[in-house]
Amino acid sequence: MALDKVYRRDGNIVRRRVLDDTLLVPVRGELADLQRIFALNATAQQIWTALDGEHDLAAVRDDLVTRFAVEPAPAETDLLEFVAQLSAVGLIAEVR
Amino acid sequence: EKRLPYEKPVIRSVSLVD
Repeated sequence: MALDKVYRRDGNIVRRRVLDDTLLVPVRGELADLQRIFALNATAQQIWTALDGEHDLAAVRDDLVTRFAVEPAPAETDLLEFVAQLSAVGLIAEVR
Repeated sequence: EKRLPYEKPVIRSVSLVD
């Protein structure tokens, strides 16, 4: 997975805050897709927000480094791994 | 340090359907 890739959040997913947790809730789609929700920690929430279909993964990594106390290398490794997870469960789609 | 504490991004799947 390259850092020049651009991803967009699935439009069938809404985000809801419950206390300190961020939940992703499918609102449309196949029945099987509606039978589970997803909980994100703070870093995952920031990545989710940044996957807007316009900024590439390099920009998302830079955003993480700006907001969180992390060096670029581990931020990049974690980002690529996390994006692969999101893509695998169909929560994001590659734009370009 | 003005940045937030970093933790590895994690997503947990919770099945609504016991």
